Parts: sequence; structure tokens; C-alpha cells
Amino acid sequence: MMGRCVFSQANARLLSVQMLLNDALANKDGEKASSFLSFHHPHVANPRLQLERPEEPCEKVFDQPYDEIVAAHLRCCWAVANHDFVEAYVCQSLVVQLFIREFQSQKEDNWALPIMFAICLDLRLFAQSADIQAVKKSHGKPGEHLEKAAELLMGCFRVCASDNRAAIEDSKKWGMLSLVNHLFKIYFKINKLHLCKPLIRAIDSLPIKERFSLSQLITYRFYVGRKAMFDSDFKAAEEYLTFSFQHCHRRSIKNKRFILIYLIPVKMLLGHMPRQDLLAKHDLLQFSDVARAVSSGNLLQLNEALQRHEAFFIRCGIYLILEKLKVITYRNLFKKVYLVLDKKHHIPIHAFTTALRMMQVEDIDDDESQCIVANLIWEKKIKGYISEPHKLLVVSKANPFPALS
Amino acid sequence: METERTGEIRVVQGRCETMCPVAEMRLREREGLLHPFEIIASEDQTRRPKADPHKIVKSYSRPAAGRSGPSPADIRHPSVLLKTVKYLFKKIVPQTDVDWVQVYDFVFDRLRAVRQDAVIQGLDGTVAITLFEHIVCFHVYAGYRLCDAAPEVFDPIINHQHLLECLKRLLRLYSCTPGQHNNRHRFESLYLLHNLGSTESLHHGLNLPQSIKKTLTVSKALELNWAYLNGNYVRFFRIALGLQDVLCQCAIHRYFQQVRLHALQVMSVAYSSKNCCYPLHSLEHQLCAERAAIIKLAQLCGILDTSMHCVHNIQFQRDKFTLPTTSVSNCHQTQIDNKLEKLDIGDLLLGQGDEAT
Repeated sequence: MMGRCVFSQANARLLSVQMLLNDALANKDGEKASSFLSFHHPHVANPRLQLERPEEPCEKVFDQPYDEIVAAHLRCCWAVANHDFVEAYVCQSLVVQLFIREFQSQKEDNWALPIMFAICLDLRLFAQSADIQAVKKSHGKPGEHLEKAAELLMGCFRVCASDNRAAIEDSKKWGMLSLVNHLFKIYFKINKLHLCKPLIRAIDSLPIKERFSLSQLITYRFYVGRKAMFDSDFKAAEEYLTFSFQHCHRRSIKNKRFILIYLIPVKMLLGHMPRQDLLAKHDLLQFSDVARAVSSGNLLQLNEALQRHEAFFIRCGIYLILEKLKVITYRNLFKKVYLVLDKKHHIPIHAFTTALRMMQVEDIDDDESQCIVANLIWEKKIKGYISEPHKLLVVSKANPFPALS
Repeated sequence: METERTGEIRVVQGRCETMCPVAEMRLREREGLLHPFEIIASEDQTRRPKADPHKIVKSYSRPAAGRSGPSPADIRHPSVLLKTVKYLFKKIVPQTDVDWVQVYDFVFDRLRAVRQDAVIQGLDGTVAITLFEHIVCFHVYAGYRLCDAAPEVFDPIINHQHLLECLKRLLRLYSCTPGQHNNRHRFESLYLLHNLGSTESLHHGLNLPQSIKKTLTVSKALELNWAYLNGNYVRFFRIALGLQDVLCQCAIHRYFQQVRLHALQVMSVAYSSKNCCYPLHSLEHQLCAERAAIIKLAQLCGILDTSMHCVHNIQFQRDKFTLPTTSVSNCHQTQIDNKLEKLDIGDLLLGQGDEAT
């Protein structure tokens, strides 16, 4: 009796959802339809819609293929209510699979894009939680669900990218950037940055690439900037990250801080040191010692700062970039040596070795200081040449240490 | 609703108790597909030689569409897989009476089949770890030993790809198998050294648990990465040749010529002067190479006249340097050769030599 009662209550709820959803579908109101399949909508908290076996009632009230989609969604609600994210991921991936098949069959139409946005977002979030849960219970490899989610999202991406027939306003191509952003988030998380490149190329060749929504563009450029950063293309990284930072809504404090975590190291590498008040405002004082050490050429202090905040820098994935600041620190230190020696144009290599020894660089000798100087000349950070027979650095009379920026 | 969980997929359990399934042995005898290493000694002159059951090892065959799944009788039991690897390393790898490229081809193929058997059974845990540790060692060692082999007999890229695949599988096994793994720091270092300067491997290395990251081997491997990224060739060679573990040296050796080339490029700019010369003996010392090798490299990138054979100095000039269009061939490093000579290679690859500790 009880079972039946719950069943009919569920049925009643379903019927009201059905009317609203069917209405939205009939009117091709993607925005409204998406809310009934999204976990950002309050209906998911309704216990009567959290159903372990929703197939049968759904079959009765929805047409193909939405009966299956809604059924998978409701089972997903049930799984989430039980905190079983591995199961939630399985259900959500079914939702995405079924939807994308239907979406592909809707020729020359893109009204359903909001549905895709909603269910793909949830897919990624569940995959993330599923990974954490699976690893905690020590079955499953780390990143396993995210990797599978990425494959599925790639499937959606292909459907959108291959929509070549439709007029631009009806094109599914408008869905590409959102999917790319999800994929970026996953690839950065599972450390598979090389997979970003074809996506960037696909977006770059789109005629509508500048016309996506601002929030999507901000996210996109943020990740492209980070990618450029890891490819050591710092000029490009600066450009993309600056765009994101400047256009990010001023009230998105968390996002602004997140962008700065990458923009600051890039700027430093290009010779712009961050102001103290900026760091304080965004709760990023971890960079303050680093910046001070770099600009004063204090290698010892830099090593200490890197060590002190190692965990933070590694977690953000910028430790590698900060290591590269050593080159600039060498340059600043050597400039000091030059100034201390009264700007003479002949500086004995040994003077640099002494300076590096003061900075406690492990077993440094003249050979290695010479090598460091040689690299700085090659990178055009010092103007001059080394005379090997005399063990001297001969610097140019005009502007021997050109400004970094 | 049908749910699919990877954990519930039933996998085959290997039941084959010999290094090669009987069916394959018969087939290869019949078709004349036996490798000279697998034939009964007295029969190597006959037209259809018989296989020596103690020597024949299952060969790799590509899984093809339409072929039925493997039967448990054709999949080797995990203990047999370990035994097979041991056999290959102790009996085949040390052979000196044949060209070592043949040894490599044979062992490469048979190890690939071992991996295949392991993967089909979903082998994990400590057995899989040991197995993949051994296989990684082989590819690292072979990469060094054949570094100067002709490209048509040995493809370093393919060796590298297989090595990387095994390493990644191994590192994944470490991170999801509970318990202490005594050799983990060694293989984490090999990964860092074999992929010098790569963001992906460095990111992985930096995120290792402190207990592993702080070991001498891993911290040296990280230091080498920094030296490489900053172009510090002096520090690079100093640390590289000072490494304790000869396999780590084998792994990083593939970057030696590249670092030397970069050094010459930097020096062409930094020492560019009409009045100064750079003595070759200091170059030999700094770049850890013999004079002939340096002269060859310098000629290849245009900073030394090809007609000169007996030179003592290089005059660096800014615009003379051009990156060689052909790939720069590698050469053996005396210090590494000397170290390897004193070791039993089978033991080294099985992690039983002194070097493994």
C-alpha cells in the first residue's frame, strides 16, 4: 500500500513537471526546459522526485526520448540525495548521451543549447565528486570519471562543431565555447594540457569567436592564458589573462583572485612587479616576498620565499613559473655587482661568483657563474660579451642592463 | 536502468603455466616462425626446427577486430609473467655473440606480450608494480645502449613511447596501491629525467608526497630539470654525471647532445668577440665530451670550419651559429659505459644490483 501511495504521489509531481517541461519543449523554450534538468533548480531537492526506479512512471507521461532523459535525471536526483556521486555520474552521463543524440537530430536548430549547458555543467561536477569519492573508497583510479566525462563532452563538441549547414543564428556552434571551457577545466585538473591545443585551434578558426557571451570569453581566455603560460609564451599569456582580469565582474572577488594567481607571476617574468596594496587587497601576500626578492636580486630570499609558500604555489600550479624568476633575479643581482664596482665595463667573473656564494648557491664556481652570465647575454638581459682568456664580462657602454619590460 | 561499473566487469584469469602457450608453440613450429633464440640447439640447421619449451616465449600479436577473446589457457599466470621477464633478462639480454639490436627486437616484442597478458587480466597490486618496474628498466637501458645505432635498426622514438606508457602505468599503480613501495622514488626520478623540462612530468613530480619528493634521487632529478630549463649546462652535466644510479644516467643521457648544442648556441652569442678565443679543452670539460665529438658538433652548427681537424680553440661569432637541420646523433658517454661494464645487466634490470638501493 505504502509503495503505491508514494508511487502515485510521485506520479502527481511528475505530471506537473511533465506539463511544464512539455510546454517548454513545445515552445522550444530551451531556457525553461533546461531548468527541469538542472541541479541548479530547487526541484532536485524534492524527495518525491528522487526516484530509484523512475522508468515506468516516466514512460507513461513523457514522449521519447524525454522519458528516458527525465528518468535518468530523476534517478540522478535519487543518487545525489544518497550522496552516491559515482552513481550520480553514471546517471548524468546517460542524460547527456541521450540528449545529445536527440539534439543532433534537431537539424538547423539550436534552441536546446541551454539544456546542453545545464546538463554538461552537472556532468563535470558529478565526475569531479565521483573521482573524490571513488579514490576515498580506494576503488577507481584518480581522474577516471573526469576522463570519461571529457570523452562525452568531446562527443557533444563534435556535434556542435560539425553543424555547418545551419544559418549562423540557428547554429549549434554557439555551444562550442562552453564545452571547450568545461574541457579545459578537466584537462587542467587531470594534467593533460596537450589536449587543449586542438580545441584552441577550433575556436580560433570560428568566425563568431569574438561574439560569445562575455562570461564564456573570460573563462576561455583565462585558460588559454594559462596554457600559453605553460608553453612559456608569456607575452600571449599576459594578454589573455589581462583580458580576463579586466573584464571579470568586480564583484567576482574569488575569480579575480584566481586570475591574479596566474597573471602576477607572468607579469613578474616580464619585469612588472606587483604593488603591495594589490596583493593585500586580493589576499595574495604569498607573492610579496617573492616580488621583493626578485627585484632586489636576493636569490637567498627568493629561495626562502619559494620554500615557505611551496605548498600554495604547487597547488596553484605556478611553482614551475616562479622557478623561472631565478633568471631575472640573477640579472638584478649582477646589475648590483656592476653598480658596486662603480659601473666599470670590465667585471671579473669572480665577482659574480662571490655574489652568488653570498646567496648560498650550492657549490657555485667560476665556470657556473660564467654559464649563468652567458645565458643572460643570450637572452639579451645583459649587453656585452665574455672574454674567456681574461675571465671578464665586458659590458656595453650604453645601457648594459636593458630594462626588462 | 542498466548501470555499468568498471569494477564489475569480469576479467580473464591467466592459467597458462609456461612462458609460451602450447597452442602458439605448435603454430609457430609449423609455420616456421620461431626465433633463433627459441630453437633447440641441435636443430638450428634443420628446415623445420623444433622449439625448445624452456626457451620459447609468447610473442606479441595485435588484438584484431573479429578475433575471439583470449582463452585463459593462452594467458600466462602472473607468476609466470614474472618468471618470463626474469628469463629474458638473465638469459637473453646478456648475450654477446649476436648483434644486440636482435636481442633488443626479441626482448622488446616478448615484453610487449607480457604487458598485454598483464593488462588483459587487469593485473594490479605489487605483482604488477614489480613487472612494470622491470620492463621500464629494460627500455631505459636499451635506449642508452642503442643510442648510436642506425635509425633503420633502432627507433628511439618508439622505444621512448613504450617506455612512457609503462612508466605512466607504473606511476598510476604506485598512487593507487596501498602500502610502501620501496622503489618508487627511483621510478619517479626516471620519469622526471626521461621527460626533462616537460610541464606535465614536472607538475606530477612537484605534487608527489613529501616523503618521496625529499629523497635524494627525486630532488636531484628536479634540480636537473631546473638546470635544463634555465640553460645551465655547467650544473646540468655536473649533476647528471654525479648521479648514483646508472639507470638514471641512462635516462637523462638522451638530452646530452641537445644540452651541448644549446650551450654552443648560447656561447656563440655570449663569447662573440673578434679578439677572443675559447679553448677547446675547457669546452671538453664543461660539456663532458671528447674533443672529437665537440669538433663534430661545432662543425655541424657552422661555428667551426669543416676543413679543420687539428684545432685548439673556437672563435665564437654571433651570426655563425645555425641550428643543424639533420638530427644530431648521440654518442656513448664514457663515464656511463664504465659504470655499466662493472655490472651484471640482468641483475641491474631486475633491480637486484647494488644500484637499486
